[in-house]
Amino acid sequence: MEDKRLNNQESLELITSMINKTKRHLHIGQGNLLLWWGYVSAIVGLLVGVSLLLTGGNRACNWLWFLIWIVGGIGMMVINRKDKDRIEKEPFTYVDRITSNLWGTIGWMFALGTLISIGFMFFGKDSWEVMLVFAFLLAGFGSTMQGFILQEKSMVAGGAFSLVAGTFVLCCVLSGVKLTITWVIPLFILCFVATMIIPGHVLNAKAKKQC
Amino acid sequence: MLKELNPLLHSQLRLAIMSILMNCEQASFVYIKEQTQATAGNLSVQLDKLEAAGYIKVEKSFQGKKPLTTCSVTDAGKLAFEEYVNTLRDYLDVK
Repeated sequence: MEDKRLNNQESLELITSMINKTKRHLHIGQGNLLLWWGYVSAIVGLLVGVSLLLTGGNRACNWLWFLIWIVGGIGMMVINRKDKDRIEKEPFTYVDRITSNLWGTIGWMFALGTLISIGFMFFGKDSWEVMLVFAFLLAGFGSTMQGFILQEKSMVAGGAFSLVAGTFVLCCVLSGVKLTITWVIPLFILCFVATMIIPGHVLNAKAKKQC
Repeated sequence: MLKELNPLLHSQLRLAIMSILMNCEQASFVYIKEQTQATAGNLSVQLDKLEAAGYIKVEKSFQGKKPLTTCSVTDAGKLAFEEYVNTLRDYLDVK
């Protein structure tokens, strides 16, 4: 391409062609972060469930939930570092910015919720259930919103499922229904499969096809 | 009477650069070069012209040890591009 003057028709065609060339919704590895957080959350959920069953419901096993933060956080840093190479090869779109801000906000909200819940524990209040509710609702909200942004039905459906599950668990907590390991842990794992693991694989497959 | 088309944008390479940047928040020099298939020298000159007009922002940084040049369109650039497209539509009588 050179610095030549164009006629009006050529200008319009050039604009259309450039917009079409740069138009993309997905990039290779788009679903990697979702897959990482989804698998880590589901595996830690399973670990907590098994530990609670083996110890006869020892509440101290709930501290294992923090493995999600530790393992998930380290993995996210590694994935983000690898993703930086993408900046040179692909443009940073408005969708990328919205997605990054959305999950950033959700991460902070969850961190804040966790800290407040831990604070309650110092006053003798067992607030593990509240943290579970946070996880269901925030993961569901994030997934639904990102699904709408990317026009990805699997994310909207998975997120909606987690929102419904979170609302149900919240109602149980508020009305004093006991959350038992036998149903709440499988529901937690199922939610992360629906909100992150399935959509993550779907996004990666679509991105592979598109790019 | 029809308005005159913005001469700064009415050139093949500069218009291509602006069209790319209007479609994304930020793009690297390498990406723009690939999409426009321009030479590095020519692209640099055109980017300088657009930056001098206040239409784009060029940021130079390092990614590890490699230099990284990224470009983004400014508010003035967005306005100029929109005006250019509207004038073009009037010329071509596109609704």
